[in-house]
Amino acid sequence: MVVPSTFYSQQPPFCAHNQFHHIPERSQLISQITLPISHSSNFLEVCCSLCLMDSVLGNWPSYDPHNFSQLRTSDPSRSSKMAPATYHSIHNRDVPPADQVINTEHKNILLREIYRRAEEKLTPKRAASDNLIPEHGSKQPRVSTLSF
Amino acid sequence: MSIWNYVVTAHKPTNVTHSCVGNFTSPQDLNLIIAKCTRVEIHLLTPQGLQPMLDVPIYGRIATLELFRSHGEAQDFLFIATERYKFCVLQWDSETSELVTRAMGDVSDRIGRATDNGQIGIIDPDCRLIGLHLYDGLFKVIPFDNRGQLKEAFNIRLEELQVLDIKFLYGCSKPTIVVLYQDNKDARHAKTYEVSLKDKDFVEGPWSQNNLDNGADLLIPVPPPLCGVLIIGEETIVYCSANAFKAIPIRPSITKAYGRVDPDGSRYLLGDHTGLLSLLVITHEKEKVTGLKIEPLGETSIASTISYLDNAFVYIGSSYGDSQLIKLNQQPDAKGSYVEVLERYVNLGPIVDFCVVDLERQGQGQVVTCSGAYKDGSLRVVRNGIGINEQASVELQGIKGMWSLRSSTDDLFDTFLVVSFISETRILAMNLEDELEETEIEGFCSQVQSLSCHDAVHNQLVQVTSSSVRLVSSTTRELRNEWHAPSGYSINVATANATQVLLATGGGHLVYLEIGDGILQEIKHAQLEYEISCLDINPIGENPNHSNLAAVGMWTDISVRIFSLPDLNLITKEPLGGEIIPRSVLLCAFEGISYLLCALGDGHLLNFLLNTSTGELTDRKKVSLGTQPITLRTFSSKNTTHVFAASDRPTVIYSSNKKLLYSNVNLKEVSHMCPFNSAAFPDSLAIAKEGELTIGTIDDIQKLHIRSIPLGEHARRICHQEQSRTFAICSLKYNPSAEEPETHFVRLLDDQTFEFISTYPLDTYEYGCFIISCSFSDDSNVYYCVGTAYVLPEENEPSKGRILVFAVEDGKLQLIAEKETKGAVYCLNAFNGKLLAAINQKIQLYKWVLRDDGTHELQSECGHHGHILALYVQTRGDFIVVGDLMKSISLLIYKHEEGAIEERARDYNANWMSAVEILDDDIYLGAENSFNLFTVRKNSEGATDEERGRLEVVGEYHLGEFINRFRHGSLVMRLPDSEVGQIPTVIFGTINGVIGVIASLPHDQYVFLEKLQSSLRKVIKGVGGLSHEQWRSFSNDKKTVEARNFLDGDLIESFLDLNRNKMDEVSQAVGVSVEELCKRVEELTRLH
Repeated sequence: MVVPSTFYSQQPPFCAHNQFHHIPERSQLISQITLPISHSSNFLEVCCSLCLMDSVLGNWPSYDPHNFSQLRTSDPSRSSKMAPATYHSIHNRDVPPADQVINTEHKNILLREIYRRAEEKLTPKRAASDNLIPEHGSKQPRVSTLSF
Repeated sequence: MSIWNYVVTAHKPTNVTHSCVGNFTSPQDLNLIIAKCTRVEIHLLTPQGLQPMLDVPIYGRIATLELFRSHGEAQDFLFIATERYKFCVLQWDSETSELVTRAMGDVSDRIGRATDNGQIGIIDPDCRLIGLHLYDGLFKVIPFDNRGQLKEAFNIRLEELQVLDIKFLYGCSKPTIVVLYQDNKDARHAKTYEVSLKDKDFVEGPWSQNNLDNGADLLIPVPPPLCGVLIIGEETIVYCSANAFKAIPIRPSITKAYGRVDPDGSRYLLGDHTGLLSLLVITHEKEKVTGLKIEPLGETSIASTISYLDNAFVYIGSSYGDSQLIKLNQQPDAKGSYVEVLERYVNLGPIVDFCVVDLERQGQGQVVTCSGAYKDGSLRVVRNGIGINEQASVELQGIKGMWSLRSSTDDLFDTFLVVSFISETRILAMNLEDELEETEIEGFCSQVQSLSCHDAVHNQLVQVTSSSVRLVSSTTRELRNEWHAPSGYSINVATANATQVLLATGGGHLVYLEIGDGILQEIKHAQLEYEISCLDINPIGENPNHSNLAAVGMWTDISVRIFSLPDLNLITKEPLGGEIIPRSVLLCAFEGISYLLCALGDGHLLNFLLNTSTGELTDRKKVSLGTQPITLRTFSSKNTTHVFAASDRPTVIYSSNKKLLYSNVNLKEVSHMCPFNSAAFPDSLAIAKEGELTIGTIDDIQKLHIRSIPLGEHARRICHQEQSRTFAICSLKYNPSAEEPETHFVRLLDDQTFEFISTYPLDTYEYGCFIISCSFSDDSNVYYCVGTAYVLPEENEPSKGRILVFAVEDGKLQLIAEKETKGAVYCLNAFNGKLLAAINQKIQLYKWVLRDDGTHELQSECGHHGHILALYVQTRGDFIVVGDLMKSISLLIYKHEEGAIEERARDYNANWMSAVEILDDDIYLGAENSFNLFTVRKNSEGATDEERGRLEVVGEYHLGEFINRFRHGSLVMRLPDSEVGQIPTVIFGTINGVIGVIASLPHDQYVFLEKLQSSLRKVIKGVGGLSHEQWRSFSNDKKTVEARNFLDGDLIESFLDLNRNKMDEVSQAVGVSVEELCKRVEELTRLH
């Protein structure tokens, strides 16, 4: 069916994994790209993009090769109309276990800070080796935390 | 209208705000989960594409949607946080197909200033904690314990007050956040903190980066092995980690969304504000980042969220245009784009304005919206009901029945259309010129009325008349056999399929015949006690040519009965109740479920579930379709069977998600319908209506039809002019590369083709703010009046604007008059033959004055000061209702004698208004910017001036949607004699693309539905344990109060989705039968 002399000018229907077709595609690309150069400010950019595209626009992650393999390419100007069913929660598992109803601790963060300082004063000095991060571990209060 | 209002969604939100991909419904399933503000949609990735699974309503506006994998779990959990500070963790139970709430809670603080840049919710990649930034200066932590259970939340003080983004870093031994913030000199920096769960405090993190791009707005954490973070600016992209820093310049753009492509984080898709999709690549060697590269891929809708799905397919969620499923190609197309758009998902949002028109002049409203923004701006024509696209029509009076017949059993297409009249039967057929012409089937009796006709096996046709059944060859068209009714008896009703005929004669005789090759054989005869009113033997079993059951409707005892075939044994007898006889019965099957439909003479339709093996009828439901007798027929469209109910209000009955739905057909009255699938008119219907026979195709079977008219620019105001059959819009076109990035226009569109037919460009900096069509006293012409504002960069509030008066002459906009104003013209109203304008703080009335030279001009008559900004104005008689920027609603009155406008009353609440409407003389409806609805009432009977000067708040409700516009009108055809036809409605349009209806109910109906609503709250619970009562409570910065005098129609109408047990439960609580509840709720669904 394919006449050899016209082979290179024909766009193969599927060529993603076929090394053989790379040469004609590349040359085709360049000829396409030379056209809009007058619009494009940077010729280098175009050339770079060409090289880059080759290397980065492939190997798209595939979790299940079947996904989308049978997608009917409908007319994209028509919008998809499939409407999912509306879910109604009519069971009694809408309430989580009692310990998984979460609230914020009631103690205000300023009070918490004051209590923490008071406790720190009361407790004996910790060994220096406990303080992994010197800036923070130092007894010197951070000005910022006091100025709440 | 009244203060008892019913709020219901006609078109659900379509604005996609969030999306994520993970294994949610099972460890093997890959799901795309989409948030559309108040709804979550769960999709499944399949070989056929994205398969929608569920649409989950959430009682809150979703602020955060994240999937995460807890320790030791095989599938992901969904974390949702709402704008009103609730959160929940959901798990899918695939065995029961239920969403289970793992955890929930309230994360609000009593004191705190809500963040300006929106709420941030993030989950540590190692699942040690959930972080929330909800209030300035606070970072809330919900820790996980080692079993994956959540513990009590606590706050940590965050020094940075102007936070732009926060993300968790990957690969840190302690949970570490990176904060992108702006300092008080407007410089932007990034800083890291470790979260110390023990001390409930931050510890300085491993690195910080000062003085980033001034437009830096987005952080992308990079997963292992690279780790670190990408900081996306408007002119640069930076990669930062403790030991590396790389930056690249980019073409100036604002990145709105990103999606990670590779699990190792080496490629990202970025979507910018112009809809350009780019690929950001991190180049690396030996787990060290060596550089960044960015490549444009092509154009999509302006993305609000991007999710890489699988195998180069990507979901683009959009707030400004349709969302899309795209494929990334390895080779560019002719335009150099690597992006191929494969599917579009309609998004009406943001609906900035809309109008209600009756373009087809059928007495039914259509909504035309200004939808979308920037380049994705469009007009959308939204219509309820199913349209018939007329292909051919002929005048024919007195049609009593119609059937289509094929010329041979194997023929794919119908050839003949048999039309029966009171005293004759005519046969139409397609001729070679594809015209319908009269023909003859010799074997048929054409001098009498036909009762039924059908194709039969062995290339035969059946005709039943009052005296006989005739079997005719479809090839020779000659009579092959005939069965005669016993003398003295005439056949009253008959039905047939390909192998069977069932007929009834006077005296209650039921006769069953079978069709053979040239043979009509009487198999069985039964005598019933009463006359028979209707029959059906539509095959719904495995054999498409043969039915094992017959449905029979009876006079006198008003029942419907199921008989077995061929022995005509009575299996089931179902009394229908009441005094209205059944006029049409139909056996049918939808989505594998068998039903018996029974239509009564008063326009009611009963449906039953039919057990085909026992003949048992269950789950009786009753709906009112119209007021006249109904005739039921099946037809198929796109390989699916539907039922057409011909009556004064024609309806298509179809099934979606195993639930019967009723959709109006946009025709006034249909007496008969039969499918007519001819070669020239494939998949068509023949419809007898009002002395006319029409052949037409039917729209897709769904409730709302949306037609898109892409504009490529942003339409902001729309108005229809009946007289010139045009629309006028105020629009703006963005052209980022030009010196003037925005140009504003007034455009005229043909109301049929929606083509631009004339354009009036506005001045530089001049915005079109409002447009109306109106006429003036002493001038018969109709004009478009446009209000504008000069939005100068140096002004806080416009100090100059114009009112432009256009006439449509020869399809062109002709400027007739213009008037300069001292501010922005936010609103215009036709008012007593004059023009009422809202200009900044002022309401100003202009009269239309004839000058000596014969031209007209607008002349100021009087005005009223005293608003912050008068944004929305509605009028009724001499009353003017003003919606203020921040001072709620006030009521003004125009005094003719004094030529003055005075304030009569106001609502003293500080509501920031987004729309107002007048419901009736005394009741006004408002929407405000905390997504609430409220009604106020004029207090004319107040004892004191002070009392009369107050608008009393009578209704409050949290809609959860930002309403831009109210309009009186209806999406459905209103029949004056139906109960629903008496209910006045207002339509609204919102930012999320919701079209909703507010219906004012009579008090007794309101009370009844309120009871139903509170019973439903106990049966249909909020997903994630969120409370419906709290969700619907009116809430803004100032107060939160329980909803009153508004009902949630969405909750009430979900009654119809319940299974029978749950319906019974509700029915017992309300004290009304299920059948009655179904009927009343079904009627409400017909409001939209």
